[in-house]
Amino acid sequence: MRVTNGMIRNNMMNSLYTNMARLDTLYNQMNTLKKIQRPSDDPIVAGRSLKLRINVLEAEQYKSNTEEATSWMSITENALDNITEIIKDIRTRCVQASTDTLEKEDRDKIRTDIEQLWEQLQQEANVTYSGRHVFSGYKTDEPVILSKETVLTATDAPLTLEGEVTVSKQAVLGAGTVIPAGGLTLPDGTVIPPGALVTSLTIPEGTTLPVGTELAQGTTFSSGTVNPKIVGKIDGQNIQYEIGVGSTISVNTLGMDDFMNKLFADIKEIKDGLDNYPDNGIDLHDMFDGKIGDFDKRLSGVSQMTADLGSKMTRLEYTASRLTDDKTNFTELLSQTEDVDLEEVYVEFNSQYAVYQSALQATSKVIMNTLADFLR
Amino acid sequence: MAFFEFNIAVSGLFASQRGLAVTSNNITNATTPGYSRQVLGQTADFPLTGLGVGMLGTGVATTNVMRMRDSYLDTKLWSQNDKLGEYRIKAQQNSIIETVYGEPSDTGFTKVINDLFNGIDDLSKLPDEKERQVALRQQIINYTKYFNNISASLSGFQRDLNYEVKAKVDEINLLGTRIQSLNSQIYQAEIYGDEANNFRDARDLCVDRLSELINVQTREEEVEIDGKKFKQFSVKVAGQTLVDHMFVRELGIEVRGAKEDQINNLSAEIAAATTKLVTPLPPLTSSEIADLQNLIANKCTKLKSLDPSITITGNIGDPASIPAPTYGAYEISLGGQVLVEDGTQLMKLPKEKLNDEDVDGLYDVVWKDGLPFDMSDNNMSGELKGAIDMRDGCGTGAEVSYNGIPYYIKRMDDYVRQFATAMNETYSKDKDGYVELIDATSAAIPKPTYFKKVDENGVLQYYNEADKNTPITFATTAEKKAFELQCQPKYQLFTYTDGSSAGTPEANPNLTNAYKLMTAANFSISKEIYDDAGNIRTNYEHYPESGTNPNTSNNDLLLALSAQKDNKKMYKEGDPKDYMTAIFSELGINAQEANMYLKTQTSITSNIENQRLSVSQVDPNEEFANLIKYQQAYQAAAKLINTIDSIYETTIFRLGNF
Repeated sequence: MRVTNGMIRNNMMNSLYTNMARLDTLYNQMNTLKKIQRPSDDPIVAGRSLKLRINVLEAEQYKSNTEEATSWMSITENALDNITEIIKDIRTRCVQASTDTLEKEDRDKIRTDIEQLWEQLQQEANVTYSGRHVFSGYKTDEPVILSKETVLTATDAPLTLEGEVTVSKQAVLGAGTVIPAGGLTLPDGTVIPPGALVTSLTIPEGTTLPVGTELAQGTTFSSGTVNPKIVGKIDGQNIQYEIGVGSTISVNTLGMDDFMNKLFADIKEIKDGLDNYPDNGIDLHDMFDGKIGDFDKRLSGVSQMTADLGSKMTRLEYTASRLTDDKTNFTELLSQTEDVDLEEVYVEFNSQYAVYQSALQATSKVIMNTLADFLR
Repeated sequence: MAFFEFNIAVSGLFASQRGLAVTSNNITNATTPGYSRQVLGQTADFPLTGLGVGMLGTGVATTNVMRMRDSYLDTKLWSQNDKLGEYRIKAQQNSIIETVYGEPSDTGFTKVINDLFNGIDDLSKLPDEKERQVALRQQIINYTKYFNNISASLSGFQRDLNYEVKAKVDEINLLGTRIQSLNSQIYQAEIYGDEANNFRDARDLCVDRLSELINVQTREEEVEIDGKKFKQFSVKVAGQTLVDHMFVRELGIEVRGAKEDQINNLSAEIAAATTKLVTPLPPLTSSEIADLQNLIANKCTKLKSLDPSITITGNIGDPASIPAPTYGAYEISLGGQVLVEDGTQLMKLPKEKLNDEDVDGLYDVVWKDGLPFDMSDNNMSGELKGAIDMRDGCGTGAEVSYNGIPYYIKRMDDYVRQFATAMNETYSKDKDGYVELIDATSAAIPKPTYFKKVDENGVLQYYNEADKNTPITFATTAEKKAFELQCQPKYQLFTYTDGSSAGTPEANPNLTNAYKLMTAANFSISKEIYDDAGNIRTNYEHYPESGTNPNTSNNDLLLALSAQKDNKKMYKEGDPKDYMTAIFSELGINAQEANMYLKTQTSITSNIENQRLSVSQVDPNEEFANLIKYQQAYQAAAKLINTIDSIYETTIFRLGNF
């Protein structure tokens, strides 16, 4: 076959281009440390790396969710611990009161102590996480126990009670408030018949509003009363955080409204008993003995909440550590999928470069000479 | 027989001199594109007989200057060049599309979709936190902008490719004209029997280029005219004649929808003129009437010539009816649609587009002589086909089935429509799982609202606002379908921007008809959320318009939205990530295929080209050798003359000198 200089030149140029294209690919790989620069380099790898990258980012997000859930639960745990301690303190007072023969000043002291401890309990029940009341179900903008005097506005009313509310101080029922069947019994024994109130009604401290009472606009409760917007209304209001694909955990603890309601009744009973002693003719020893049993029940109630919370926190811990593993695994997979093996590329680059150089050498030799150089 | 030897020697001198000329010409044209080396044809001259010594040679004769060319290799190259051109364009364009998506990287789709769902998730943790609401709004905007940008870039490429198509058509025309004029030059030159080497080289060079632009078929026929043989060269492109010897055809371009525009304009003019014809005040003079009637008749003729299937019935102001300045009931219609009726333009023809996703003003390629040029012809190839496929290709089932730019725009449109549908439906649910709907087509204020829910039997039921328990009964499935199409979710996360001012979401979006008006180009956040991030619904009882939100920390709606990220039923490809991965893989495979074809075709063509070079290319070494050969032949012939000269000198001067 006839071979011309031009053919050799063409072939040389073609192989040079091929060489350079390969060099370019390797050069890019070394620069970006990625096997592929665009989907067409390897469509399968491109698709897989896209999904893996999303997996990594997802694991990151879920991890940050577990962290936020953990802080929420730590606050709750703290509050529950404090509540346990306070109830224990109250119980200790009761034990003291039941064993000793009480003088008036002892009674007063115990009453003040219990009053103080009750105040603390209220604060713990109203504990917040970044401005949100953790025990209030979805209604995190509402405290469990009213911390200031509260008047029902037009947007709140009418408000139907779904749990009993015992007012801590004197309260006012707005005009139009509907008393349910069975009527409303005031502490002095007066019974307000069922039906709507024509005018507003002032009720004394200690009145218990029955379930079903429809509170009208203008109803005023003072601080220390269980929040009528919360009590009985937050059942099942679990705030869910996503901690995995299709997997959520509820971060809040429920039941505090009912719990506080019961505690309130216990405390009130003690206070009433002490205040009216000895006119009421009760045996203080018996009363305190009875209360010790009640507080033991409350304590077991709190420890149940704490146990619940604890198991959730354990689950969170497991999840967090699994998510850390997931993230590591996905990152590693992603790296295996799309990252270059640097040593390999470096060696390949060097050998390719050597090929390129020898091709250049050969090209320069071939194109250099023609017959003309040897004619004279 | 005196001096006979001189003549022989001289023929040798001439021959080698010509040889030198041919060699010089070869050497100087060594780098001329398309040049084929030429070789001097030599033959021993006609011998003398009857001298009693047998035939006596009379020297050398130069017969012709041949160009060394193998037309078989030309044809072979031309039949492969078209695929090379086609895949060159496709490889280039696919690679441009790849850059638009910006994958694989940490900044492309992966980022926007993760940011969006992380934003929803972050808000779900503290649903009433203002900063997180604002952050989510921004993430929704970023997400929509990603698709807006892709769509805009793709449309821009389509526009660029449109000019590319025009450029290719122009180049084909230019080459056609040159081939035709070379045909005529070759014909003229070869009347006298010579081979028109240089012209043929030039013509082959033209066909070389033409064959990259579009698939060609060439034929060189010998025809006999008055006992003389002539060669006639013809070129067919995509199966149709471009050049036939001295005759050339031209391709042209036509803007799509230009005809509809003209028909619409003419219809409007006719409607206006007929109305004027019966306007009583001020009274028209008879010449004015005649003018109007002529005008109408004129426009009608034009209309008919644009599309012969247009029918004009009734009295439309026939000039024969002068002086009656009236027209009767008339109708201009096309394909069953009435365009103009009694002086009123009833409808305008929509601009014709090949794909819904196309930008305006795309060119159709046509033959200027009016014959159809089939752009979607699968037997066509070449750069023109590459450009057309990339510009018009809308995937399987479309008129041009390649996965071109409209295909990717369509996939993006489908993506945002289905994504918005799924998200908006979830976003519009109430606490009982009913999707709140609004009748977007109703003129009533406020628009009527409905509910829909899949009942326990798995049947999608619709309910009136007043009664969530009794499904609305529909007489036929068609009626239900129609009802379905006029309803849209009451609350929306995603809508589209209005055309008036860029970037502002439509205040009253119409999402009916399966979100037909929404495209990747106008995909946007909804107006309510755009105006105030606080309007993002966070739970099923949260109604921002009335400020109702009894449970501020309830995040059930946000969690449901967040779960859509892994909704495997959102697309037939799976969840949103699966859909996009499918596109990337498809794009990658297309680009890879184009690259691979380009590589194969390059190696095939360069192989053929090398074979052709082997035959035709000037090789300096060879030419230098020829140079020496002819130089020495010349010297030898000169020596002959010298020798004969000395013989004659002896004969004439020595012998004669007595």
